[in-house]
Amino acid sequence: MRILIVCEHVGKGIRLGSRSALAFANAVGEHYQGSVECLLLGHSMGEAASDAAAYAPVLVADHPALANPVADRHARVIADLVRQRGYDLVAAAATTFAKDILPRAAGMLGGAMASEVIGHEFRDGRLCFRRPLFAGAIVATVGLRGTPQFVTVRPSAYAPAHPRSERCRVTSVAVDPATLPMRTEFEASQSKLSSRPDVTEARVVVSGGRAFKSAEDFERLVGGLADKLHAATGSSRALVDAGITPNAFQVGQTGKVVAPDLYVALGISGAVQHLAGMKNSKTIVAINSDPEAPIFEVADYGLVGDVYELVPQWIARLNGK
Amino acid sequence: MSNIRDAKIVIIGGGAVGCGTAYQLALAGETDVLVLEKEPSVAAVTSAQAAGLVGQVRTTLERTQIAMRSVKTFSELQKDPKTNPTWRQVGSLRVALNEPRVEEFGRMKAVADRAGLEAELITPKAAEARWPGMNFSMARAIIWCPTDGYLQPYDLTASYSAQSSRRGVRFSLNTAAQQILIKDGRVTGVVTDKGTIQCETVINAAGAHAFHVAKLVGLELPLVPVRHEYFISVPCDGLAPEYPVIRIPDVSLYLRTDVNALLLGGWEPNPLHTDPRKYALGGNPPGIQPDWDVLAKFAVDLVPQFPKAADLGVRSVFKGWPTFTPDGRFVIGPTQRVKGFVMAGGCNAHGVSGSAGIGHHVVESMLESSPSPYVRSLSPDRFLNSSWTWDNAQAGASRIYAEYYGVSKP
Repeated sequence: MRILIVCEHVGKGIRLGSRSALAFANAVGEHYQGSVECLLLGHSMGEAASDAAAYAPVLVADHPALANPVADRHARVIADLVRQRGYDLVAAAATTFAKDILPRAAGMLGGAMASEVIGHEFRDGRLCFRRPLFAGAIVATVGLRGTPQFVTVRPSAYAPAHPRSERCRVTSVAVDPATLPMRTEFEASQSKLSSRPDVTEARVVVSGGRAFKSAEDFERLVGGLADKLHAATGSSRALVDAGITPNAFQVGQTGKVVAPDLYVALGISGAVQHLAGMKNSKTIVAINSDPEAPIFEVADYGLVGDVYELVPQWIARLNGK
Repeated sequence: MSNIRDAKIVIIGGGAVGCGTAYQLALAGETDVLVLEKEPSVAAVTSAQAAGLVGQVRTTLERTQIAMRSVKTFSELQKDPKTNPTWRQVGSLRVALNEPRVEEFGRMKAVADRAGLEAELITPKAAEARWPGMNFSMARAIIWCPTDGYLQPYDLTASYSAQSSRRGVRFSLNTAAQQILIKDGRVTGVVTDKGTIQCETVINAAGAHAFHVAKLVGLELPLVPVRHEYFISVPCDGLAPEYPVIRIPDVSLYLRTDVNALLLGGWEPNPLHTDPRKYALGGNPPGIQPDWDVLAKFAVDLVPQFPKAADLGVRSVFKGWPTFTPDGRFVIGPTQRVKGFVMAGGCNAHGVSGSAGIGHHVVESMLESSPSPYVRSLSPDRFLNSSWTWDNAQAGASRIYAEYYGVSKP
């Protein structure tokens, strides 16, 4: 089995989600005694390629035409490479980028696709994928017919791959712009300037609840602590409902389900709906003014007090004051 | 837990009804109260799964008054900036699609007028202005009640709990009641897994376990858990949390917005019910898997009014076992059989929205020398003095569920 991971990269390195996809590939590759390689698409990716080489042999498709994520060009490069080199399985982290590009590449090759995979198993030697349906209410186990197989993997489902003991080789692959479809032209990219990781991807999540009275307070205290801990920010339903935090922040039964290494719950009482979204976090730290708050039932470390008083002290301590 | 101490009154069950009753007791000056909850949190089982709709327009004066009392309580609790029920008084629209329903709306409006509840019949156009995107053109009548709304059931329960704690009520979580001690026909205490508590009164607010708790004092009550489910959709453009709650009883549907998504539920025919004799006090009712046939039908039935419902993905399914009674009435108040044993259950899926009013009636049944005829009519003894069988209790409870939005008799 030959496996190719399409890695996303930002400046100096590959994204954490791509490392989760690599972990998935390593597990599958090990089972079938196959090989895992990763592919970087883009332009001027020296540092990212060097970072990727810590995890697997790297193929670099570098061309100015690939500088921006335009789906039809990227998909063409992936499809050609898969055909030439005979990969059996192509995977990537389930992100907006991969959702746009991988199905297109699968279609070009007449391959089969499973998206948003949260687990895998081997049934009578056959690779099967678990994927959530109806927002996770049910989980389907699916097998794919035919090759090549394409898979997007939820980053939260696999712990990021660790670097290998030895660095791997980096190989350039030729990109012939004449073969690329140029029907789509990249105009501009608009994104919210956020230096923080996505809440489902982060290893540390700092989350705020109804103790925070305004968006400014949330940003100053929850955001401020998150920046010190290189964490993502999340919130309880109450703050989303009150318009203090955006929808994307919501952790819980009707929001995101997260399982970071560290979850810091600030001023969150811990309604069952919130616990459903974070109780599998490895370590939970809670600050709440109510000693009876149910969040303390799941917390490994709990502190009773006012977040407006304690969080600034925590931030100051991290600043070395 | 240090809260385990003798108390005058012990409430078994920390859901909306148990905590709502504790709050009403505290308001009435009874603060030597201990609430036992077997789970690590209040509102951990059925209450937190409720949709939180609060509707006051009813077909009987008593039920309208219970709901009005609840609304008054929610508005009062909402004033506390620290812990409040997230009560949104967005109003409600009740939509009639056929003629018998129009007549019923006329009767409901008359009840509202008698109760002093503001409610008016409005045109489809006026309704559309309140809920843009909803098609009211097939409505034959619409009742608008501006003081209705919705709340977050967990927040409500936590709010009751905080307010009553402040007045001296104690809560012991992770504490399971196992036995009720009786001497000379009187309750004298409760045995829990954390120790024995001496008390004069036990209030049974144990929800899907209320049957088992009643059984501890030898009462067999037809409290039938009936499965109820609703879902919250993926975010949907154009919805706002300020939109009124909508009920369309002729297709057995209710809906509201949830942040920017749609919450949709209903009362399906032939509901799944369970027999509380099949699980123990220390056990749990059967687990519930989402019933996609039922949930999909809610969406399909809403399409004529809201075409987007056909394509809205489901983000989360909420589910639980609210208890129903064969006559559709609450089971509230003391029993003649055992002095000091008081029921607060059989809420027929009104536990959260009715909690304040129900709590008040429980307190009235205990503390008033002559409770009202209505409160007396809810006594558990009505099931002890008449013959009933589990078969007809379950059939009756299922019928009450399925006809939740049935047209009431004139």
